[in-house]
Amino acid sequence: MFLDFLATAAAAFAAAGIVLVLWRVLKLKLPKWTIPAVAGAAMLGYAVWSEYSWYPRVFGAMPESVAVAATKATSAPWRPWSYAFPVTESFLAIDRAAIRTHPAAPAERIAEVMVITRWQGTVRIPVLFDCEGARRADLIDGAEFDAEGRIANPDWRVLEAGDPLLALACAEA
Amino acid sequence: MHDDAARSVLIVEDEDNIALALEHLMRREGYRLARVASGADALPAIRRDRPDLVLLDVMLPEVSGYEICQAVRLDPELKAVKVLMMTARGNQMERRKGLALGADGFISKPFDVADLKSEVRRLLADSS
Repeated sequence: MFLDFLATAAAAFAAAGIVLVLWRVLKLKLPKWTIPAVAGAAMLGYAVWSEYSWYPRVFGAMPESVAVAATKATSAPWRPWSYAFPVTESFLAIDRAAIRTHPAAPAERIAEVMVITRWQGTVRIPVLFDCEGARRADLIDGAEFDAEGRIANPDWRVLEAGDPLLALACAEA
Repeated sequence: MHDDAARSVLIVEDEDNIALALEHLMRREGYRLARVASGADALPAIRRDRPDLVLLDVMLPEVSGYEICQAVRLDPELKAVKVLMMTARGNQMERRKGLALGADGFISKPFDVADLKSEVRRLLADSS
């Protein structure tokens, strides 16, 4: 967040500096409010760019094996343009290369669900998916397959048809 | 099973996957659980259910975690309710703001399971 603030301030100074140089070099007759107006426009422009580019920047920096299950876009009164074009502020993803299976339980897969939220970082939640039974059990307390391919006392929850995380975890590579 | 099996925890978290993980952890600890997914639903639920502890996300739709924390602290009837806020890791500003508004504790997101369990136990022990 602090880096974003610095970048926004830098954009304002850079834009104001460019206008100031052009003003001097080209000897333009511009009103005095031009420089603060340009600085303000640059700040707003950078802030809007930063908001809309957050999701593609973050996802683009992830390994190719990471697949997105869902995104969450929001609108807010202090950025009225977001009612026309909602801003993606979080997304759910699974690294398909890190999905774990056990030969004795071929329908079950452990995947790390990543909840990635702007300003909040990434929360990683290990989840056991039952691809045949369409259900999930959270393993945040560290449970793993034992030698027989079982997991002790899974806390199963049945999922709705078309659950995007289940679809992603259970899709064949 | 934890000693405080009858203690109640209200989870205020809009992200379903994080809420499911928290529910799983708290259930394993033996607490009675309820969950609301928005800031607007949180205060009515707290006033109705009077949970022993509220596990409160800072960033919520409609009403922020700060506003909920402040409202809880301004209501004398909710004096016994402990508030554990979930803030972004390393964000001292969020912590200071929460502390000023009367939060009883903090847990960072992404949360450490052991830290979360021990902080919940500590706050519930304080309130007993």
